[in-house]
Amino acid sequence: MASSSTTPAPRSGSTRTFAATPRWAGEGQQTPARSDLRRSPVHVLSTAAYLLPALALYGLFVLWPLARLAVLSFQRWDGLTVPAFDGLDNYRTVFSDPGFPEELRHTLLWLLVTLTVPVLAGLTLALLLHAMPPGLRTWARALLILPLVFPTVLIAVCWKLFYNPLSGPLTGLLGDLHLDGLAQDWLGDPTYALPALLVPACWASFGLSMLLCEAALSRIDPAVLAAASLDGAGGWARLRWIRLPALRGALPLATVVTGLCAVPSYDLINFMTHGGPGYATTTLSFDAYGRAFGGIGQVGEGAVLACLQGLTGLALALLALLVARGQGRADSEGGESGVQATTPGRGVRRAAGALGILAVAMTLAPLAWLVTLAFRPAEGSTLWATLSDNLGSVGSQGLGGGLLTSAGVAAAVSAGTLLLAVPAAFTLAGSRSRLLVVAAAIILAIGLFQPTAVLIIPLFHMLEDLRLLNSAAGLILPQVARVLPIAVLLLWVGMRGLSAAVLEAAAIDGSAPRQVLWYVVLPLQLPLVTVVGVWAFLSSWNDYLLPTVSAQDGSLQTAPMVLGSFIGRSDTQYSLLATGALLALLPLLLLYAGSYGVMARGVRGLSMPYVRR
Amino acid sequence: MTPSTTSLRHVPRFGLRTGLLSTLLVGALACAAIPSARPALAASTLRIWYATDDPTEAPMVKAFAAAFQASHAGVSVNLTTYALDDLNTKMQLALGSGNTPDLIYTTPRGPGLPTYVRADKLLDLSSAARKAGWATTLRLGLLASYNDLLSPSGSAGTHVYAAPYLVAAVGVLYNQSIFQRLHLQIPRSLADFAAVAAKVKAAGLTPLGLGNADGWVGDDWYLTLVNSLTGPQALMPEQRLDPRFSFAGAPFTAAAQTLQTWADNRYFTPQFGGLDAQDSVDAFFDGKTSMQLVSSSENGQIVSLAAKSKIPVGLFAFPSVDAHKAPLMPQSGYAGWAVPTAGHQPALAEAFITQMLSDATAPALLAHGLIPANRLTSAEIGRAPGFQGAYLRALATATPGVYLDGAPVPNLNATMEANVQLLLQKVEAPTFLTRSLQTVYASKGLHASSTRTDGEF
Repeated sequence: MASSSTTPAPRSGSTRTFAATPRWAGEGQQTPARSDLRRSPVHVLSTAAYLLPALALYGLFVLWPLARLAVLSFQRWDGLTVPAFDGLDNYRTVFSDPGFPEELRHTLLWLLVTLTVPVLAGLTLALLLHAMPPGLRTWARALLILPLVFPTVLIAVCWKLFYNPLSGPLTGLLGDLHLDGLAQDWLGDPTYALPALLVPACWASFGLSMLLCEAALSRIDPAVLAAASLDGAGGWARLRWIRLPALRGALPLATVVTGLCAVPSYDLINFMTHGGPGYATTTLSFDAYGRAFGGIGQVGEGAVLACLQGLTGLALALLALLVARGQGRADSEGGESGVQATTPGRGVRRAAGALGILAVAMTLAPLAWLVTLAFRPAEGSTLWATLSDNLGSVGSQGLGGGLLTSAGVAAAVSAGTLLLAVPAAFTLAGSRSRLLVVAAAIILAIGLFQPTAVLIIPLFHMLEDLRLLNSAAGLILPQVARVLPIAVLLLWVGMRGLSAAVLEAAAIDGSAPRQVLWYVVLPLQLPLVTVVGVWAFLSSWNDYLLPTVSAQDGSLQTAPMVLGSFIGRSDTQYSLLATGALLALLPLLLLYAGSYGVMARGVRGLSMPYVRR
Repeated sequence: MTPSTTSLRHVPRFGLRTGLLSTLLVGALACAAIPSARPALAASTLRIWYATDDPTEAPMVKAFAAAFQASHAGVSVNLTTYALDDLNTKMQLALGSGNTPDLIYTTPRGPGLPTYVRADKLLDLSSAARKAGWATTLRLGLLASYNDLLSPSGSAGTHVYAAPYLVAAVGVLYNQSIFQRLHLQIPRSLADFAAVAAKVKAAGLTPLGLGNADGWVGDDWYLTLVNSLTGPQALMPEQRLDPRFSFAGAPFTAAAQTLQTWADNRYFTPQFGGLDAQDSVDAFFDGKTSMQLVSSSENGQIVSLAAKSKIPVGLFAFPSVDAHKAPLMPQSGYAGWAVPTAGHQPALAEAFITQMLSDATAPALLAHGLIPANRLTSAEIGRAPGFQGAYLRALATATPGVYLDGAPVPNLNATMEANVQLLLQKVEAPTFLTRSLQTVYASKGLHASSTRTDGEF
């Protein structure tokens, strides 16, 4: 270990990290020669080669559309004729619209709730899981994060049926419990509609927070808990002073990844309430899309609203990164043992087990209703005949082709994301340039919380200019670009947490950067790479808006698009929809089952507090 | 997979390499497996986009496309169905880029077809219509009145830009068993209608079916009541964007007030705000609802449920305020066939329209529950199956009502839907609805204050 004399000794655990250590090619020694090497053309070229492909794609399909969106907001354009500069007229129109304050309020409420409630729910469930018997814990964990893989169209339909005031199970359940007074017209009453929409938004996104928090809890040194007990600390005191502080490193990241799942609101609102009743569930991004693409020809006004939503997203992302940075510093002053925590008493385990089963039942209830629908025999028919009919019908309406297209696009998005994000994250994790790191963080933050509904207006016209409409590339490339910020950030965080000793060894061996990446970093980060790959796959598989807009001529139909076609304003084919939705869910469940173990390890790795230099 | 710290040559690299290469390979293969975005086109391919909010319509119209293909050697028909909102979005984008289908079937309401006409994006089909005799195939005066609303002001009656093949008309579906049991007669005036509703309510049943989650059913209720109170003639100026027309008149507020009163009296299906139109039709066929305002676009579901439930149903036109006046059926706003100027197969598109308007399609439409726009003889009406026959008979005797939300004003329909939803929930007063409508109408949609822009217009 040639560099050990110049590098601070690591604390217990793995707090000495990739970024704190010498990098590849013997840069460990703090010598003038090494500084020169860092500024050498070869180094600059290698950094550029690793970063630029990702930056180029991200710039083209995220940053450039955002810039174009800003320009569009100053233009009057109906989408059909030539745009004309219009100064601040669009802004004046939007700000003077009596509906605007309501939309802004709904948007801020949506952001506030979806960034806090799922994290708190995840934290609570993590504490519950932590106290459960191990066997039950594994099953409960696997089932509780299931909603993460559901397509939005499926989530929307599940919950819409669940809320149905005439036939939905929620009303029935409240009736059975003699709580009829609590039954409401959940989606039809303006008072309850937005909260009723926020429930599925949170329901679908608490899983990652739960995994991250649970992983952080599992690394609390049992000796600390034992010592606290000996000192007379009760359950609450241990929670307040030991367990919750242990989550400091996980919570900011949990907030970011939860936000990525829950912040986009367009699809859920579109399928469940269309922004109504009245305007009770209209958000900025929903209205932006309506004004731009709803056939009313107010693209400029839509761009204004999308810009506002985009700025909100940027502010949130920067805030999250700042919090994470501060948390990282705080965590670097602490330590951890990596040892499993103490086992709770039998009574606590039993209570936690019962509560966990209840939580699983509540989580899966909406899905159960959908399964019931899919398997309910039609009147005068048998189950198998109905199923066979339904399968034939969904097949004839193109679900088979939709599944194939979705699988192809999602696999390509997953592969493309890894191909670009891994080298970029590797370069950033090893970089000593403060300027590069800060610039990269800001650039990534810009696109982190931008829902497709924000980008879709300029993105469509860009795809048109590039002649990518109706092409697989037109679906894949923007989706890769959309996933890149979180992919790079997650991998960056993971790679910064790597043990210095291993990397030093690679450096001593004289390995080139690509060798360090290929032979050292990737094998160590394989679980995290899997998490990112699966995330990219799911993001693409579940995307509805981009394929709807960019696949213009119907030759490229993804599974969510086909499922969406079963939903009509005058007649929705629930039985077909349920059958199709379950079919579309199968590949995801297989992927989930196959990668669950590796992913859990990857998420666990992420929850380790990372340390800044 | 942790490498040795002494030599990287001993790293067990096979698994990792295989894994990553496999991932990339799968990605590449997946790209290859994606169905070709631009399938090889036949010598003459007719690309059609068809808008419908009734998913059960798709197989029927695809069968029509297959029949056209079979009767035209060397022609391939590529027909894709979309929900109305999706098609509107796609059309705006497609027309802007010039990459359009050869034929579209979409709504004339709001800025849809009229906007395309004004932007010179649709072919003038007058010549084709004359040659093929579309006007004589369709109901008397239908083609002209349909196109009057599409044409630029001053050119009404001189051009054909689109042709409907279905009629969407609003009628009242009723449960004949309940009517017989309670000794009720088909109402002849608005007061009769309210009295019937009161009797049904007193009998412990739901007088009026309503599922208003989507907003359009409440919208239909409102405009039907306005038609009843004013008479359709008074509403025609609105369709022509006459600046003298105003939503501020007493009948517009009275119609809103009536709806709110009925909601207060619990005449409508319980919890109607969270129910889809489909849910309330389902509830009707549970046998506890006496009447339901329906659009013929729902007929497919009604025909199917009526057959399953065995509940005897009938249909009547909504009564006018005065028993001496003919009842009315608002009938407009339905979709039509149009040919984009950027399309590549105008002749084939016109031939396809001619096929769709022909008498040969009518039986298939009727079988599906839809009401053909063709000029049917009394004998043909007599042969129509039960419920469809009732619809056709009502249509033959009723005065055509005006779809107020069909005026070519952006956001007018969305404003009406959203505000009627809020009115029925008692969040808004009747005057707020009329003020909102007038604001949007007077500004031709530019001041879309307090409007919901959800793609439906």
